[in-house]
Amino acid sequence: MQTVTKSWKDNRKPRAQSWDQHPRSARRMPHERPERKIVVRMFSEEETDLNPINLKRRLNRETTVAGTGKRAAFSFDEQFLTLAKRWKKETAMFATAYDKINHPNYLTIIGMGMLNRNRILTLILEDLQKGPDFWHYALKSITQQNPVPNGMVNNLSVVRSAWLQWGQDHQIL
Amino acid sequence: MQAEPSSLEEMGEYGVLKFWPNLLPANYHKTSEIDINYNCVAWVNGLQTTYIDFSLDEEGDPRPEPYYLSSYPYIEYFETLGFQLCDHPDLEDGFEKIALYEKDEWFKHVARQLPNGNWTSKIGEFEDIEHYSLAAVEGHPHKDMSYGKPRYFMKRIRPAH
Repeated sequence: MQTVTKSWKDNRKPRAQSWDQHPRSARRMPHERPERKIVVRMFSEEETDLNPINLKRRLNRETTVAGTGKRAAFSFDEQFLTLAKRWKKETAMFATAYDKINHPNYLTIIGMGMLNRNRILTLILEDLQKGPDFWHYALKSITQQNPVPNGMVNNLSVVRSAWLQWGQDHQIL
Repeated sequence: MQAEPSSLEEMGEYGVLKFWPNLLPANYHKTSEIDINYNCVAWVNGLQTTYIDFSLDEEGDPRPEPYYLSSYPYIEYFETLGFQLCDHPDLEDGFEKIALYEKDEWFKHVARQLPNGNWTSKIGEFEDIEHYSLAAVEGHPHKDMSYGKPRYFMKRIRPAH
């Protein structure tokens, strides 16, 4: 009978293939280098899953007390604030809106619109009252409406005033 | 709840170096206050009220084609401003140069050369800075979301102003 022995080494992750950074491969001719692929999809299926049941479960899991692993009893508002704070922190340095909105927390906030649409709109618009930010795509996705004049999405002050006006017209603010 | 950092100073030296490993205080100085209303591409053109961003369409939806995430639409935009592709970023008399940063074929940043040979950049939503080399705002080589390295250089005859 064959016995299988496992050691701690079997659980190690495989070593990263960093041929591009290696000085030996950098001396290769361009056509000899391994082809680089554009990574378009960066997040797991779970991270982009907007099914309300899975979303609620994920929100509960992600809002844990740092260092303890214990789940914090965060309210809906606090969950939004936690996600938005981290989204702003991690995307503030990017030059394009695509990089800013292509973040798991931003997509989760859009998904929270399915749990409580009016509350998430209020929270986003209250954040927008503090100053301009990249909330246009989230608001457009949640409301399926676009009050911003065509071609003006890159002007954040126009976007901000259009959505704040929309919020007042729909009695959300 | 602690507020999110809204400037390079609030990120702290450690926070800055985590994202830009070469951006030590000795390598740059701040030239403006923070302003979210424009990005580095608009800053090259001197605009301070709007983003210039080809990653979204006119209605604000992300464009799925990789072309719009690459440097090519930005190169075409800069060509309309009189820039032409060139080989190197070294200072040349009478010419203004820009450097486009790429990470994994995605456009990330653009910096403009000043007459003294330094470079000026709008760092995301943060301040404008003057940095003393292109390497100062290079991104971390092993992080997916970073500024990458300067890949394309363009130049035009320096405007009179």
